[in-house]
Amino acid sequence: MSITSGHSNQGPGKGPIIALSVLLLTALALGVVYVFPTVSNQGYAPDQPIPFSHKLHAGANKIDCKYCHAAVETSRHATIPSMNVCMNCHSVVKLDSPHIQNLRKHFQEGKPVEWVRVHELPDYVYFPHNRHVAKGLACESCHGEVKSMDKISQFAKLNMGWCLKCHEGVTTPKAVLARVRIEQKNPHGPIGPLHCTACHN
Amino acid sequence: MSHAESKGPELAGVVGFFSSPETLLKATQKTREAKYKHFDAYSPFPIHGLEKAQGLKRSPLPYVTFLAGLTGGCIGFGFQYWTSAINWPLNVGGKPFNSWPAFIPVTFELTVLLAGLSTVGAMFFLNGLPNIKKKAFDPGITRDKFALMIEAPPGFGQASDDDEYFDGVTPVKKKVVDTGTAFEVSSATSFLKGLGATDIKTVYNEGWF
Amino acid sequence: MDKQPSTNTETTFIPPRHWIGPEELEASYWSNPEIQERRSQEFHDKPIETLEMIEKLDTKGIARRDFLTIMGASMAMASLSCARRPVHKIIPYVVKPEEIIPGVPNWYASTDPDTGLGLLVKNREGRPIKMEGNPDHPVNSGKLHARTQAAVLDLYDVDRLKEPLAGNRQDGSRKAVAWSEADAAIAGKLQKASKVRVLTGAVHGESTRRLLKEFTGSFRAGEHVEYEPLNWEDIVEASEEAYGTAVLPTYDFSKAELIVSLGADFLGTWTSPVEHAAQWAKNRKLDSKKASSAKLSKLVTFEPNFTITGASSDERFPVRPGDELKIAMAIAYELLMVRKFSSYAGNSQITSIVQGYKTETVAQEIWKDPAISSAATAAIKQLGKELAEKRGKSLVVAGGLASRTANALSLQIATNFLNTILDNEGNTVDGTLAPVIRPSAGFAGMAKLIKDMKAGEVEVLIVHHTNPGYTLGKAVGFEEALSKVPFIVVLSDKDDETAWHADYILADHHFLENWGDGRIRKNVYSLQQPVIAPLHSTRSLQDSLLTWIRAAKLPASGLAATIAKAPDTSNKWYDYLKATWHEVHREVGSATNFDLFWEGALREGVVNLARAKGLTHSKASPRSFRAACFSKVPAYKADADSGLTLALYPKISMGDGRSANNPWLQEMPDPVSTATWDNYLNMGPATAKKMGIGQDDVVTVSADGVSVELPVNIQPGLHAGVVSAAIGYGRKKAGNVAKEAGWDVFPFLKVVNGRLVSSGTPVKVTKTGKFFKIATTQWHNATEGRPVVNDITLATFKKNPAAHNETEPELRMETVPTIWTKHEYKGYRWGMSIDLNSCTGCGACVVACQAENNVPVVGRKNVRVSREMHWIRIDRYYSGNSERPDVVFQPMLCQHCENAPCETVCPVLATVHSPEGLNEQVYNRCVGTRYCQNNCPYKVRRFNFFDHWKAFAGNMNLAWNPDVTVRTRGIMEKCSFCVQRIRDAKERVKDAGDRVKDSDIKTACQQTCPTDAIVFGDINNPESRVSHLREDERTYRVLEVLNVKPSVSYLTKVRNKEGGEGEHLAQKETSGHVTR
Repeated sequence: MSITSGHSNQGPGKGPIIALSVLLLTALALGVVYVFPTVSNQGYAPDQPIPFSHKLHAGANKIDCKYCHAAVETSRHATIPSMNVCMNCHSVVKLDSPHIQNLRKHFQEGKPVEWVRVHELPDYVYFPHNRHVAKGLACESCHGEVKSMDKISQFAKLNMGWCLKCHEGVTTPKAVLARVRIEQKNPHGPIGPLHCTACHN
Repeated sequence: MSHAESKGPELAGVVGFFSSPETLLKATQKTREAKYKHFDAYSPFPIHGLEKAQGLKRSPLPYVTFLAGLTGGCIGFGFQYWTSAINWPLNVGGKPFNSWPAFIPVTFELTVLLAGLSTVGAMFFLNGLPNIKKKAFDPGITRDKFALMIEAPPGFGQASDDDEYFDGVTPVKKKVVDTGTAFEVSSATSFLKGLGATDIKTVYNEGWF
Repeated sequence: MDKQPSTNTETTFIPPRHWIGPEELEASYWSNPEIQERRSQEFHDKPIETLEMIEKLDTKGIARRDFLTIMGASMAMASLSCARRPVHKIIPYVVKPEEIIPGVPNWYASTDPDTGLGLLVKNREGRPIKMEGNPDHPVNSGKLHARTQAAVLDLYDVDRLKEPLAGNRQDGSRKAVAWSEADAAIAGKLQKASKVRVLTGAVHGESTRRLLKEFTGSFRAGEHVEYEPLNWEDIVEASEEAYGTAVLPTYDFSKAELIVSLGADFLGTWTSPVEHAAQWAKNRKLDSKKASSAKLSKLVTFEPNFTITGASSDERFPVRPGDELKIAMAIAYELLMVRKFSSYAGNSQITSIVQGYKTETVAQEIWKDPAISSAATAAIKQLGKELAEKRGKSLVVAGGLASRTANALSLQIATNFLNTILDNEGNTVDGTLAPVIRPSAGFAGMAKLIKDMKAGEVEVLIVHHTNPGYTLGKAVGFEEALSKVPFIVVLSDKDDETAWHADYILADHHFLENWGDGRIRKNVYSLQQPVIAPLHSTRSLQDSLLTWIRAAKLPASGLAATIAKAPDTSNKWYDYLKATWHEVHREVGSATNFDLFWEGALREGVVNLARAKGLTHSKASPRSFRAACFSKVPAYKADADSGLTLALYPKISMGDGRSANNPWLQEMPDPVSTATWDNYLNMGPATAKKMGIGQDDVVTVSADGVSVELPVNIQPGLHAGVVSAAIGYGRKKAGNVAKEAGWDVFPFLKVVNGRLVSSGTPVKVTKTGKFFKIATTQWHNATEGRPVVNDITLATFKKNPAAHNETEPELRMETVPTIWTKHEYKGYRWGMSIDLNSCTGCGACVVACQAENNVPVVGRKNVRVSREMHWIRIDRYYSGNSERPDVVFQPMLCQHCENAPCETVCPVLATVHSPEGLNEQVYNRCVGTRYCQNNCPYKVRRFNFFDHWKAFAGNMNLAWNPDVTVRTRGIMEKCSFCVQRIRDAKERVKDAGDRVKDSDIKTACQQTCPTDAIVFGDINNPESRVSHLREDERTYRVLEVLNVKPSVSYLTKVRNKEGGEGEHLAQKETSGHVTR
């Protein structure tokens, strides 16, 4: 049977419109994912139980990072200082402040202050502070200008790509780069390990 | 059979139907010899020799395929090479960083992918698809009819303000390039009749909407 | 030589040279398509939950839908990508202990009080996570065996008693009490009591012994009794009979060129296995460069059960329990009667007994099979000859639970006699200079205690660290006697079988939480110090005794009185210990003051008196033999054919069962049977065939009114009249892990003439028709006829050290052409060499690796379907016939291949090769495709099918090593060459600009191996040991023909055996297929 009309049975083609909309939506989704990455905690600045200010202690009072974060040269953790370190000064300093009184109360009761962790890597990453400090890397390179932070916030992305860029020698601070190049007698190439078990074991 | 309802004012051309592939072929040949420049033959199945008779040029599609395939291959191999040998060289199974035998499957796949997709896309484009402006003048040309249409040049029959244009100083007459036999409905009709076509009619451009 | 399977022209079947089960020696096995199909399914591609399989797996019924439940739960836990980041806390110390740096381990020296082994305990943030040997300790020199490696998990056992309990002896109910309440009640009873007994395990600590003496001395009739189920009572008693001194001598196997073991599993469970394994291995190392003059010691074993000592023997003969005496006397016959060796050849008191033990008579009585009896006769005659030649350089040892028949004392006397006439006394046997200062802790003391208890002569019984309610069985009347004691206090870590009868069950410290000292040798003082504050409300025995002395105002004398009178502290035992060490200080004659000396002793963990007094080069003197003791040796009497006799034996993983709740030990495969999780009845293949019993059939074993159901394990190499079963299982009151495992065979102990007899009981074995699939690992890794192990004789080695190393086709990995250039390994390149000659199969490496790398425990069900998780396994291959097979142990771990087939196929590159030659497994990248596991030719990759880490709930989380990722479900894992240790070693030397040397890095397996079979190091360093070993001609690589270029190489096993070039040892590898 031949078709009696010149029109086809289907309605006019919706194909192009569908194709176009799918394309647009995909583009939109990709754009969103690109603009809003889901796996970085850069800028995370939580409130702490006692509002410890690095700006005051490390900045104005010029206390060295390693005074409190003492294990950074010997251990893979930098460690949060134990309360007796705080009490080294605050047994006598600024006793009128309610925060210090709160701190002292914790100490006297034998309860540690439960700080909110800001810089955290997943369990399967083994980042060694001691190795990086040994190569002359300044704390500020990864943690930012802590001396000017009232409330600690995460300065760097701390994701693997960010770490690798430094290991490759791309974003390495100049001083460290120069030193390592001389040490390794290697003017080009990576300055840190790039194989997986350097950090994942 | 009712004649094609012409919605739009534009004239598409004059079409004549033939009864068999051979007659269509002969007609096509004669049409070309008559120096008609715009005409097209329609058939449900490919007819050997029809493109030659029609004087169709070779499609540029193979070039598209080739270039796209080449691009795909280069992207495939290049990306693998860049990641494996330059950006992050990792020793996997003792293979060298540029382990080209291992790169073969992806390279091949990307070549085929890009070539295939581009070919399909280019084919659609070259076919003028998606096409919302024209509908087939008779659905039977995909089933059991053979047709030859002598096409009107675009803008034929309309008040043309293209004959003259103003270059700012003087009106200049448009040069009419010799495009072979000029189109004229009645002469085309009679020509087709002379070729042995049946059911000759004028067709107007009909869109889908 | 044994008779070999005939290969005449008619027969077309050639059995494989190395086989795993005796079925492989039958042609019908290889031609059976069903069996071959099942065998080819390495990873069970068919669903495991077919009804037939479920019904076969366990007669008790299993939870069938565990699998689906777990799946369902996982779907519920699917997380959303847009969830808010959870808040994590970071919590510092309030006052940080000065010595703790988070992230840096501290090492403490201590001692294991049960075995006397010196320990270095690795502590992280105040908790122990790994045990290693103390290299300064003269007994174990830095090595440990499996049970001590696993001891750290006992500390964190969730089924431990957490507080003292008061028990109701009528209905068994329990009530938690405070320490003060318990102490008041106990002190009250002690004040009024005069007949008090303290029953403990063997106490090595001098200070503890002293305290116990002072405590029991404060009662009119107070006594300290010691009892250990695995004791050496017969050796000590024989020493008294033969030499007049009741000591347990120490042995030096490194001085012995010829060793005869009569049932003594000295490499595994006899006296001091770690020390003996290290000594024995010294004479088993070979250097191919000096092949033509190579010397190996020779070990000939006669034993009822198949132990790892038998497996490592050059020549082994299976005997019945009790036959060991006959063998000893046959050897004496050869020496005295045939060779007229030694002055005792003229001593009629001795010869009158010896002459009855003619070698041929003995051999023909023991072995009905003429092939074996003639081989044994020849071997014994050869022994007579060689022993006579090697005066002072041989060693005869005997004993062990499997040989403890009514004749146990006679056996030891005969052994003493042999050692005396062979001049071993003072050379390889030391009974004078540094014998083991250890009480015999034998049955004699226990028998008296039982008698006293039954007679009502005991008013208060205090029990500590011994469990006779389980280990003595009902036959001895211990439980019955307990009911006659009015007041019982048990100090224990579990509410165990003995505590069941107690009025007070006091929670005891784990040895890692307690102070103590040990004097395992006459001249070695070890210190034990706590490495963690007590986890629960527990208290040590010593603190309890001191508390009661004070509270009950007991008239104790000496130091106990002094301490008890001092101001009340909780450190009374520490003060006591320190006070007794003033005497050690004096004895050592140290020039430093006591405090410095004490600090030094704590740091070293051991005070070696011999070294301090300059006695290291002194020689022991031979003890003089009293011929009169031969009156205790019976004249020869042929045993009536009594059918099957039972031998009880301790497994190397389980011992006497005190750690039955330790999942690491339960899952450690037994070296010879490769079974996990249960005990079973070992039966020889011929016996089993005759009775129509197959592997995993459940049978009832009965004797003297005791009957136990056990599944059968077909064990090649057992005497036709012997069945054996392991003790330490079937513990219902030791915790949730222990109660699932095995069946109790202690009830088969019986008392004969006042002696506790464990073996030689005639038993009846009847089929029950039930079926219990023993979870073995042996079938999971079949070699399919490929050349995996290599063993040759000494004669062959001398001619050609590289014998049988040829691969087929001839392909040495260095010579294979490649289509691309190899990667260069500049810097470090890690490799390993394993000496098959030294590996005894003890399994210490398996447990050490598990402790170091957070390897999970999967349970019996998963072991049955090949899902055990051990990163290193000990493969066991038999060769020869199934009556007297030879054994090769081969530790198999990730070979870290240069051309790793696993790396190539990972779709996400979760496994790559490091620039130092390590095959890396990146856990967070792995998506669980398992293609790598499929591709691995060595089958060493382990996949986490489930969240096994969750099994370590509660306290057990503390046992994880924080330097190693804990893997969840869906992740592949495998040996990483202890990459965390490599990193640590590199970091330590990096800043000094040094390179890592052999002394800087030891993988966990290498560190604990008592025989140093495993050697790991930097191949790029020509000075390292592993570089030398790789050059040795004896080196071969497993499956070298595949050209995967493994970094692990093996050294061929060389046996000191005669008759080398026969078909047996020169036979090429076949898979047993029928050929034309």
